[in-house]
Amino acid sequence: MLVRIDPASGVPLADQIAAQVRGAVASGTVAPGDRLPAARDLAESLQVNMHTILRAYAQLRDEGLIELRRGRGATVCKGEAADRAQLIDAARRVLDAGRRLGLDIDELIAEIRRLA
Amino acid sequence: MTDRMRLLRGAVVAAVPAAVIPLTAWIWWDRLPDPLPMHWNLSGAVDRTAGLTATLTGYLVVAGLIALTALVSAVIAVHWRLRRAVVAGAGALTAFAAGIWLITAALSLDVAEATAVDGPGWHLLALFAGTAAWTGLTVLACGPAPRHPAVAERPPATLSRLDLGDGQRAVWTERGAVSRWAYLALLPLFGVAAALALANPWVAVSLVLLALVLIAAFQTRITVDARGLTIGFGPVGRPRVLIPLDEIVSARPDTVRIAEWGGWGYRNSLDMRGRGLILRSGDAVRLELAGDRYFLATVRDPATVSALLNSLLDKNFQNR
Repeated sequence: MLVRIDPASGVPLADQIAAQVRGAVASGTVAPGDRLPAARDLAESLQVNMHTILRAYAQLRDEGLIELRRGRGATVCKGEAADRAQLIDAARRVLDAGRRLGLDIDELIAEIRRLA
Repeated sequence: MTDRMRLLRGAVVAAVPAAVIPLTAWIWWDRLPDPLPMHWNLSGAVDRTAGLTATLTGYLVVAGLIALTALVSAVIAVHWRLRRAVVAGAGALTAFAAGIWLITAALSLDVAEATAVDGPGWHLLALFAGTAAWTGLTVLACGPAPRHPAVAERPPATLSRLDLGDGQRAVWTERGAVSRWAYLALLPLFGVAAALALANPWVAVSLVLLALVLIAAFQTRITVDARGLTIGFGPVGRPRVLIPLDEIVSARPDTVRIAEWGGWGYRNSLDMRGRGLILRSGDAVRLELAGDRYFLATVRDPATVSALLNSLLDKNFQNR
């Protein structure tokens, strides 16, 4: 799994890290059941605060992509983690595009429904 | 402390168990039966004995020769890592020999007849644990391998790079995928343990513990970041081996065959120039290191790993 961050970009570091890990789950680079690196180790490698990593991991847990368990660290959810990651990636891109077009959430849903 | 002095310190640690043998023999001499038990059968009865002086001389000669080997290899001019391996092996052997002597003597204390001495039980577990601990202590006493001077050149331009912007940071990390065959290799251990469970449960427990330690050591994580390449062993990623960025010349994808390395694991190459984390045959990343050495690790995506490493090396070169 490759994680790249750019501290100079406007995107919060935790979001950048979450996006990179999500991408790795989506592409299957990390498979369901794989253990992610310990937050402390990843923080050392990227020279960021450990809480930044924990925030990124918490975000991925809320998205249903990884499990966080005391003592075992972060593992990729069993099952359809890759498909889920792709869905969330796509949904985020739809939301971004909608924001640029000035559409609200109901109008976005209407657009999706029209395509279905 | 020079590299040679640290090896000598390790060799002295390796020699200490050899000194324990005459010391305890001298203290216990009047309380030991003559002959001493030498071997127990599976049901715990003594089936062979040997004269006290002969036994003691035997242990002393063996342990003494091994200790001498350690001291000599600490000062001769060959690869530092090879000498450390000899010193560590000597530490293991002297500890094992002293352990067997201590167990035999301690069990025989104040027993009139060698044939009446009880067989060892938990002592065997202590013997294995003690040997492992003393080996570890010997390695620690040798200290880290000497650093090589920093590489003065960029990786060749023909090798691939990752486009890594000026302020960008990157890390690549992967858990080692061990071949299932490696676990199968542990089956005989469990088989022997099961067979011995009734006859001598302590040997069985020792074997199962050994198998668990090996399984824990199979778990590895390789990380490439601005510090270099790190291998972490075990479930918590400690102990670690670091190949500092300064010592890496370049990285490129390669393939590896288990047979070329003589087995699985973190090991030295047969030509002694290289080290490798060899977990299966197939894709690997090959690092050229300072001092005409190399390092190979089996990874799933060697193209990305080598591109990242070459980019980090470029950066490291710019920042100097």
